[in-house]
Amino acid sequence: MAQFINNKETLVVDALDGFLRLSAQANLARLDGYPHIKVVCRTDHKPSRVAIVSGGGSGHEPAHAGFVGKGMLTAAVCGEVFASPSVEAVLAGILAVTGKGGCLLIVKNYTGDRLNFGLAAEKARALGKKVEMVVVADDIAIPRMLQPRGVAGTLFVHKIAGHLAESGAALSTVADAARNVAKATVSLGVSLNSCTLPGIGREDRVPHGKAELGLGIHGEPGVELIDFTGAKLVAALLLGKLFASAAKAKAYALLLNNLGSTTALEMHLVANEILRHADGKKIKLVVGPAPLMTSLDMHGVSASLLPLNSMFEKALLARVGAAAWPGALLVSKPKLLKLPKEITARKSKPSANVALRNIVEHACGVLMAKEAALNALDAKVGDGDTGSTIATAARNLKAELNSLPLANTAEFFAALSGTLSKTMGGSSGVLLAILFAAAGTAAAKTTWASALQMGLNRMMEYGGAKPGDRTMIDALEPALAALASGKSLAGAALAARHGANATAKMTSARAGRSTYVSAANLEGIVDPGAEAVACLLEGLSRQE
Amino acid sequence: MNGHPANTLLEPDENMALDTAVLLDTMAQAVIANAAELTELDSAIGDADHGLNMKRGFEAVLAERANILARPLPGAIEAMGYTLVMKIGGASGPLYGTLFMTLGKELNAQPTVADLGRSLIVAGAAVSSRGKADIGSKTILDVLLPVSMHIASGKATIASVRKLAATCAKATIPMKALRGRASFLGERSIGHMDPGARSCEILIDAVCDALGGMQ
Repeated sequence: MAQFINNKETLVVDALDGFLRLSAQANLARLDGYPHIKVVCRTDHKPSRVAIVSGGGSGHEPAHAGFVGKGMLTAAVCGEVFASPSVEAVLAGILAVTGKGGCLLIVKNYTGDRLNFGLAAEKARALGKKVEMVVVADDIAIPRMLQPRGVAGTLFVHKIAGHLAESGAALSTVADAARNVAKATVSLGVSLNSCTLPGIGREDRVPHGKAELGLGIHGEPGVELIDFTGAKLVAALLLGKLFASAAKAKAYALLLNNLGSTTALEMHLVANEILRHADGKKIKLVVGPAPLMTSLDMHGVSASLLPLNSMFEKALLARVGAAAWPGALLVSKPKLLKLPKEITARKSKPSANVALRNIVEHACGVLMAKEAALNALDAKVGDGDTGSTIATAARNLKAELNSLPLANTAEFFAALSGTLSKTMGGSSGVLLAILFAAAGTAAAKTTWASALQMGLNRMMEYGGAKPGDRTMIDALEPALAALASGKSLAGAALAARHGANATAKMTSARAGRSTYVSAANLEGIVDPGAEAVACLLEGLSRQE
Repeated sequence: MNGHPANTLLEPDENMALDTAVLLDTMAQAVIANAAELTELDSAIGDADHGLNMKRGFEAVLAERANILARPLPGAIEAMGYTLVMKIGGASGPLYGTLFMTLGKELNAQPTVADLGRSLIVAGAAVSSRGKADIGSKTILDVLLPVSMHIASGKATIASVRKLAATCAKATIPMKALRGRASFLGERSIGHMDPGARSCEILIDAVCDALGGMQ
């Protein structure tokens, strides 16, 4: 798989330099030891304060360089992708920032990190430096694991230790607090795929419909393959396991970490599911959702939980100079403002018309049944949602049947317009709402078929499309013309079908999403909107 | 290259006719030449960088070649270990570094076969203690410890050392990893050769090459 890199060997230094080109104002610099020594450190650290040094393999960006700054890390020692930095690199980092205040090393629990940071600490002590080391082992994925991994919960340790160090606490105080945070923090991750190792690729090992629970942050597979049935169950599962492992407290801080390629949309949805869950009510502060301790481009999330005390809370809320720290946010319910009354007012009284009711109900059924087929068609020339957009509107319309003014054509068209504008997304929803609104106004003076034609004219006026532009108009226009000239539904359906089929030969869309698609990709594909119109009329005429 | 015949007993009191430069170059070349295979093994149960790390480490050794070869054999081996510790990173840096540094400290200036066997056992114990691992944990120790004991037994030939190293590396395939990154996989680590055991086998083969001429 292609990636935006030059080569695997220079990947980390190339990326660090990109970070550093934008970090001068944040008082960051790097030690001049490339390619072997990759250390990002503060230039404004006071030697009397405790230096907080962390790091490890790269591939977890923004960790660890992104968390260097006033009130958090003093230096980050970066290894190659997923490989601990060498003893020399760690030692260089310690020596560069450690003064009279001493140094606290915060290390994630991996053999390599423990050994390299541990040996470097020994060497720094031999050189007369005061060095303490805290190992973070917050992962609860593997029960009875002798050496649990250090994962995203490490950031709680960075933040709280960094805050204490900045406020002038002594090394022993900072180290004790860091140990307490490390001990109290629990983390767990879920992912829908593995990560892409630079220059090697991705191991596609998570089958569709499954998720890995308890994954690591180095592409190592999760301990368990679970059935994936949606975000709600994942949130419940994570919370259940985390609260079962965490110490009891009145309030907790949650760190919600994007493992790499989960969209912001999904992350906020997961946040919602976690916070509205019964256990989630105990969460007072949230860090994220954000990419914090990633695993390259893994499509997953991890949650870390820390039982709060007043000191932890104060330290987490304190402002920092680290670029990637998103801040700790207080949880609140979504605030609601009242809808403007013009929007909420009912426009018409329900009335009965059995024949029309049957037609509308049948039309909704036809459109709902075509959802998958229309989506598949749209996927070839658009964004694959035409079927769902239409089916959603149809489902809503069907549910509202009892409240519609079916006995009065003008009122019915107006009500249909209102329903479509609320329930049908995309531009097609608005366009159809315009069609029916105009048809409703016209229906007082003319037949329903010519009222619909007038509606269509108004829609073309607002939408800017006309026959031949490869839109639903290519089916609608001939069909409404057929109806207005007195032809039967079957005749209109035939006209719509001809019109829809003709769109397959139109290789240049002049309106709608397909305008972004090349001629070669449009060739031979019927426009999904026109197809929907043809299907609807064909369905209705079959019933007639 | 003439050297010890492959199938003749390595007598315990026999002097190891090891040329430091040949030893260093043979090991470095072997690791660099097999880096891709090590990385591939590591991609199955680790994070696909063991070959790259080992290659980087031995490239650092080659960069320090002149300084290392200025020392007598034991000192040179210790210096190689120091370079590996300081430069490799990952877990393999400190572990292989500990192996070479301890070995260098233990060896006599003119080591005999018995001396090498004993020193290897001490070095293996140091690696075991640093990595908190033992035989059966699916690590380099599964090759290093049996081979060290075999050499110390006085019944080894170059051919039998090579064969044992290969057998032991293969024996890690059905093991469940108890240490290192592969241990996070639990049962899923079963069925793959441990990359560290394989790199240890490659290094032992290289020493045999240096000792007995290329096969």
